[in-house]
Amino acid sequence: MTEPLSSSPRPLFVLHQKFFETAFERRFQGFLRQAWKERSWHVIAAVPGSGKSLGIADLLLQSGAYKDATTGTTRLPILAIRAPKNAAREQALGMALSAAFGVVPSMPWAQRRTWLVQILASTGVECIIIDDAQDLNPLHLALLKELTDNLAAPPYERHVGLCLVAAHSDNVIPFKETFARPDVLWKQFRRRMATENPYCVVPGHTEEEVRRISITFEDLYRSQLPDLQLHRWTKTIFTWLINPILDPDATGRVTMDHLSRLVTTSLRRAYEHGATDIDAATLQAVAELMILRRDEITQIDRSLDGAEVG
Amino acid sequence: MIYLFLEGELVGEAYCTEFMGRRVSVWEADAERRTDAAQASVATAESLENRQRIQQEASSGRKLLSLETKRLERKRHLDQQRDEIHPSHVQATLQALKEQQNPSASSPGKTIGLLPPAVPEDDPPGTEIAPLLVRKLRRDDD
Repeated sequence: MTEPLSSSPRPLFVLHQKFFETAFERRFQGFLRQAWKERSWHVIAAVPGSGKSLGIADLLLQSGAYKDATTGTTRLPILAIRAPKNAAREQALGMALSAAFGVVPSMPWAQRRTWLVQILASTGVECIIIDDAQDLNPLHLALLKELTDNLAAPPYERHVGLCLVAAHSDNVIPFKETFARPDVLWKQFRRRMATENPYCVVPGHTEEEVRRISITFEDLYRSQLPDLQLHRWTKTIFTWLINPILDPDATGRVTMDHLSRLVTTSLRRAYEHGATDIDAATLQAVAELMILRRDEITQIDRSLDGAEVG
Repeated sequence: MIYLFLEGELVGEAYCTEFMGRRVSVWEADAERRTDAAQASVATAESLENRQRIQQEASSGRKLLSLETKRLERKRHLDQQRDEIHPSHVQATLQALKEQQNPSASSPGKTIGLLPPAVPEDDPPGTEIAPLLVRKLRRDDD
């Protein structure tokens, strides 16, 4: 199965950048959809590399947002943004929210606050999703409360869902401690959180779920590796990827980022060696690279075409 | 509270907020304190033992990883010195021998580093798993 094909040079390996509707994504998007439907407020956490951002982007594509070219009407049921980084002022979040509507009109901040409420109402926003929400600070959260309160008040009277999607580690749920503080703002925020499941953690993939992803990878790369039998290595791959170095919180689950890296790097190596299937040595070498030698420093003293430099 | 008598005469009261709402004699309070102290000491000892065990486990994991990293680093240094150790013809022969080896023939039972070996497993007969739905990442993707 691993014999080289003909001696003619193979074309370059093509990496497929696709969205897999994995078990994690079904759980994650399912929860976002529920918050959207019920207009409820939640903090949703998952470990880094789970596929949160891709899941949000995919949900956005499925949300039915459109802009009517003739009437100029925009409908944006889900407003998804990424929390501003290294920007402590509330204006940074205001600008991020404004940018989600397209061209950002120039106006003073005091006016923009009102404009944001108007445009949230006129575009029919039903749920606000903030990715990387762990980067939000109290000023940002206060602005979110203000905007949603104004939206819920007359004349708009529109209740929107809010999902703060955060990366977490050490089994600590972001915002849980903050919202439990006695300050009035946090009491008000806490009151707005959903009664059921206000704080959720979406776990990664089980071994059975990894098997199904492996089968999907097989289908995707069948044209380049015709004999690919990736799913036979599921147990091994799962065991490697829950190694404490890759799973420091001991969740016992596998993230899509680690799985994709291991699989695509192994497939690329196998392809470049002229193989038609993956083998133990290639898989093991890549896993070793990811787990045992991930901090190794490579000295680049050759150009990419192999010529000596200097 | 405690009533203080001096030579048979009440001279005042002492209030102990610790035992407020309870009816406790001085002797009972002393006994309670002694029991509490003993229990606290047992709890501290147990907690210390657990903490030491967790610390030991954590440091042993780190030690293993550190040893493995050092082993790989030594191996890499030796690989780098190969040019200085062997003459060119010996190196060419070694390279040829290495290439002759089929990589897939490497024993699956052999452990490499800290990772368990790669072992393929066949599906049980009758197992049919459908692939997942796959979509474009963006609307304008080809």
